[in-house]
Amino acid sequence: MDAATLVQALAVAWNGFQLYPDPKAVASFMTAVETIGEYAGSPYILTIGVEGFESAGEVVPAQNNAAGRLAQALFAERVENLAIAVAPDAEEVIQFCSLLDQGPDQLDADLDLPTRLQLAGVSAIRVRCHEILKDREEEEADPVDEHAADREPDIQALFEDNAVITLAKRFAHAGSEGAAAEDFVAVYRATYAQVKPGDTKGLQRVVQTFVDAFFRLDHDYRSSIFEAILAVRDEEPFRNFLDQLSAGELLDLSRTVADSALPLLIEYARVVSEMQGHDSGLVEQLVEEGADSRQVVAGSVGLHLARFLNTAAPDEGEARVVEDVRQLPGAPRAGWSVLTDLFALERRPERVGRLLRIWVSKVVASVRARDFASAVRWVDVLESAEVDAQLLNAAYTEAASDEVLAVLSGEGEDDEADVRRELFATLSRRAGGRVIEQLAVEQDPGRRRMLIDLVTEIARIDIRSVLPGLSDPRWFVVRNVAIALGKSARKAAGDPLVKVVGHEDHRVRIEALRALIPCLGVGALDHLVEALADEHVRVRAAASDLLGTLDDEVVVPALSSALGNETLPVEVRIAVIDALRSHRTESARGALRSIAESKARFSPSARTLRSAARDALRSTNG
Amino acid sequence: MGNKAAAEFLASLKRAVSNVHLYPSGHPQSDAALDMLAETAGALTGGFDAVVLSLMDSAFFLDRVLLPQESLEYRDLYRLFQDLGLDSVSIVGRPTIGDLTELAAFLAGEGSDVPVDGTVLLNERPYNRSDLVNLSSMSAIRRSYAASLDFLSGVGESIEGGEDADLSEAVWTVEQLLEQVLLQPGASLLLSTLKTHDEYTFYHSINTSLLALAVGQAIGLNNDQLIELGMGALLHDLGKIRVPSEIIQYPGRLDDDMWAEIKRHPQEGAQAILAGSGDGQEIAALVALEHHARYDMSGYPELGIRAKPHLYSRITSICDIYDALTTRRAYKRAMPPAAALKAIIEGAGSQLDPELVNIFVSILGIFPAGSLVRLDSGEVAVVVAAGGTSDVMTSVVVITADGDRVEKPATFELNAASVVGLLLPEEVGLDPASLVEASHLVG
Repeated sequence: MDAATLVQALAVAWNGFQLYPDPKAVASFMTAVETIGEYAGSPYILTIGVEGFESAGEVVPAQNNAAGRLAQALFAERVENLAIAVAPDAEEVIQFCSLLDQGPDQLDADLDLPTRLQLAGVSAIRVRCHEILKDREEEEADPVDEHAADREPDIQALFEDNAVITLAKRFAHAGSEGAAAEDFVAVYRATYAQVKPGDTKGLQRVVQTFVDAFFRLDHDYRSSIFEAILAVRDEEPFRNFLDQLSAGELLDLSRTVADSALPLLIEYARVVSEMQGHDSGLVEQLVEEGADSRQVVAGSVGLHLARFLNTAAPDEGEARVVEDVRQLPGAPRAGWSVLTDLFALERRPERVGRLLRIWVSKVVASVRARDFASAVRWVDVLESAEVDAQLLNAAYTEAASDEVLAVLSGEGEDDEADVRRELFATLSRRAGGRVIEQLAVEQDPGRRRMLIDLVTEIARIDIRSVLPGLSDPRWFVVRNVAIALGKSARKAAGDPLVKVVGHEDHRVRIEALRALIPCLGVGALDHLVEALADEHVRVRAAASDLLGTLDDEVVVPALSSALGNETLPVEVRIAVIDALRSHRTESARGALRSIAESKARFSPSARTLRSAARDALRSTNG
Repeated sequence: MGNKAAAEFLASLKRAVSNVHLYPSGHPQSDAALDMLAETAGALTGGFDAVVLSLMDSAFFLDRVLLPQESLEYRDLYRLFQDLGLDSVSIVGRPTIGDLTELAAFLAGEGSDVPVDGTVLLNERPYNRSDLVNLSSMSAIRRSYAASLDFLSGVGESIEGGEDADLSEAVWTVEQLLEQVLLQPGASLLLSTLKTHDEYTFYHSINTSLLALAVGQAIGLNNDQLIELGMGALLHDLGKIRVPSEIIQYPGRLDDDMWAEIKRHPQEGAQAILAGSGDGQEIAALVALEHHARYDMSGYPELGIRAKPHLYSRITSICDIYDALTTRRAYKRAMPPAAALKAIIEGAGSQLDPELVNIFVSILGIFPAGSLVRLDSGEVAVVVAAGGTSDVMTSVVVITADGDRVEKPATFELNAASVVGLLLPEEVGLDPASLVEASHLVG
C-alpha cells in the first residue's frame, strides 16, 4: 500500500466513470473500487496541490493523465485533502465522481463539495476544502443573536448551514410545479407567522432563506411559485418576499410567467413605482394593453423596473440614455434649433426665401396659439440669421399681419403680457406702413377701428414708422393717422400734427386739432383758438367744443386774451365768447362782462361783440 | 407564404404599365414587357381556368386568397387600381396580347378601349365582400404599413410637385404603427424586413420607424415621445425625394457633384418637414437634419456647436443604417441581418451611440427576426422572434434539407450553435416578412 497506488486507483475509477455509461460493467473500474476500499481508515491522506496529488509533503507521481484530470477537478472545487474513511461500494464511487464531474447544480449553488457529498449520502470518501477567509470574517462579525433561545424550532432550523438547500429540495420534490407553488406559499406563510415580535434577525432569515431557496429551483418551478406569490402579493410576508427581488430578477421572471399573471406583475410594478414617487405612465400603459404581448412586458416592464425602481443599478451607459430621455427638449426648441441651422447652411436665394416663409408661418402659428414665448424664440431665430436686409424686412412685414398685431396688442395683464408687448414691439417696428395702407383700403368700419387701434399701438412703440402717414396725399389716410397719433398721446406727435392743422381738407384739420390736446396739452391752446376762426364752420365748432373740454384755469385766460385781441376777426371773437359761455365760471363771466360793459368802442363790430357777450352772460346767469 | 405566380404577374403588370409611358407602341421594350405579362398571366390561369385579382380592404386578393405580401410590395399598383375605380381584373384562360395591352394602357391612363377579346375582364368580380373578408383579412400591422405607404406617397407627390407637404396625418400614421409595435412587437420587427426595389425610400422609412419605435419603447419613452420619435424616423429621408432618382440609384461611385447633392438631403428634408409640420412636430425636422450627423458629429451637414445629435436622431441613425445595410440596392448587395448588426456594432462609439447600439442589438438579438439561416441539419430556417441576448430564438424551418419548401411551417426553438450560415432572401426565394400573417408564429 502506498499513496501512489491509491492515486492510481482513484484515477482509474475517475477514468472509468468518464468513459463508460455503466462503469460497473467494466472490470478495471470494479478493481479500482476494491483497491480504494483497501485504503479505508489508512493514514494516507492525499493533499491536492497545484502540481497534483501530494502525500506527506511529497508529490505523488501520476502514472496517467486521468490522475492529473482528477486532481484538477478536485483543485477546482477547492479541495484541500482527500481520505478514504470506509470502503466504498461501486455506487458510492460513481456518486462521488458524478458530484465532482457535474459541479454544483442550481439547487446546490454555493455549496462546497463536502456538503454536497454529505447531502448525497457519500461518506466513504471524505474531502476537506480550503476555508474561505471572507466567510469566517463575516461570521465573526455577526452580533450576538439574543432571540435565538426563544425561536420556534422551524425558524431556528433556518439558521442551519444547509437550510436553503433543504428547503429547496423540499419544493423541488413536491411532484409538480403546481404542488410546489402551493406548498411554498403555505410553508412560507406559516413560518413567517411564527416569527416573534422584535425578532428582526429571525424575520430576515425567514424571508432570505425562502428567497434563496426560490432561486435554487429550476425555471418552471420558480415561475409557478412566482405566479402564486403575485396572487397574494398584498399579504405582508409576500410583499416582503417580492421586495427582495431585484428588477433584473423580475425582468427574468416576467418573461416566463403565465399570461394570466402578467397583469399582477404589472400591477405590482405600478404600485411600487407610485410608492416611490416615480412616473408609472408606462406601466399603466402596459396594464391597459393587458398580457397579450409577452415581448412588451419582457422588454418594457423589466427596463422600466430597472430604471425607475432603482433596485438594479443601471450601468453607466443606460443611465445616460435615461438621462437623455429625461432631458429631451420640447418640439418648439428643436424647431428653433433646426431653423437656425438651416439659415446657417442655406446659401441658395430661393431656398432662403423658402426658409423665410417657414419662419413667418411659425411665428404666426405661435401667436395664433397665444404661445408668445415660443413666438419670441422663433423671432430670435431670424434676428441671429445672416439674411439680406430687404428679404428680412419683407418677412417681418408678412409676419406682422393685422391678425398677429391685433392679438399682440390686446389689452390685459396676463402672465405673458410683457412677452406679448416685446413681441409686438419687434414685429410692429417694420409694420407701420403696411397697416396704414391696409387702413386706407379697409371698407368695414369695425375693421377700420381695429386698424386705427393697431396704428395707435405701433405709434406708441415706434412713432417713426407711423409719421410718414401724415404726408400721404390721401386726406383720409392723414385723418386716420392723426386720430391714431392723438390716441397714442405721444408728445413727439405734436409738431407733426401742428403741420396738419393747416391741411386743405377740413376733416383732417378737425382730427388734427382733436389729436393735439392729448399730445401737447395746453400747448394746443393757441392752435385751438386760432381754429376758432377757421374758414370751415365745422372746424370752428370743433375748436370751440375742444376748448370747452379743457380746464378753466388754462383756457379762460387764453380765451380772455383772445377776446381782447382786436386784431382777430370779429367772428373769431364771437366764437371765443361762445367758448367762454360754455365754461360758466366766474372768471369766464368776468371776461364776458368786460366786453359787455365796454364803452370804449362804438363800431358795429364792437356793438356786435357787446351784444353777444350780454347774451352769453344772460344765458350763464340763467 | 406569398403567391409566387401572383407576385410575378403583378411585377410584370407594373413593368408593362411603366413602359406605356416610356416607349411607343411596338417598341421592343414594350413588346418584351407585354410578352412577359402574357406569360405570367397564363401562369396564373394555367391556360385554362379563370382567376380574379381583386381589391378589398387595402389588399389584393387572388380569387378568394389574400395576397398580404404582394399587397404591400405593389402598393403603388394598388393605388393605381383604386384611382381608376378598378376593383377587379379577371384573367380568363390564356389572355391575348391585345387584351393585356389594353389593360396596361388603361392602367397607364392612356387607354380608350376596353379589352375586346374577352380574356381580360374589368370590374366583373364574382365575389362579394363577405366572400373575401370572411376568409381572411390583411393583418392590422400590414394595414398600418399600407396606410403609411399611402401617406408617404402623398407627401412625396407634394414635394416632387414643389408644394409644401401636408404632414397633418403624420401623427395618425405613426400612432397606427406604434399601436402595432406595442401589440405585436415580434410581427412588427419581422415586417420591418419588408424590402422592395421600387419606392425604396418609402419602405425604408417605414422600416426605420418600426425599428426606432421598438428602441424607443425599450428605453422607456412615453407615448408622446414615441410618436415624436416615430415621426422623425418616418420622415427622416424625406429630403431624398428632392434628390434626382438617378443619383439615388446610381450604380457606382458618386462623383463630387452627385455626392454634394446627396449630402444636401438632410437639410432638404428638414425644410420640407418644417414647412409642412404642425405645431409641436418640429422634432421630426431635427431628426431629418441630424440623422447623418453621426454620434461624434463628424458626419454631414456640419451643424452648429453641439456635443451630439438629439436622442431621436441617434436612434434613427442606427435604425436607418441597419435597414439600409439589409436592403439590396442597385449598387450593392444586401447584408444578412446578423452581418449588418456586426457592422452596426463596429460603428458604435464613433458613428453611432454605443449605449443605443447595445440596446438595439439586445432588441434584435443575435439573429434578428427575419434572419434566414442555414442549419447544421441542412435545413433553412427563418427567425420569427429574436431571443434578445439569448442564444435561443423562435424560428421556423422553411426549406427542408432536401431543398423542398415547407408549406406549413411550425415554430421551434433554434439554438444559435446550430446555425452554420447566413442567407439572403434572394438566395432562398422567400421574403421573411411574408411570414407575418402566420401570426401564431410571431405572437
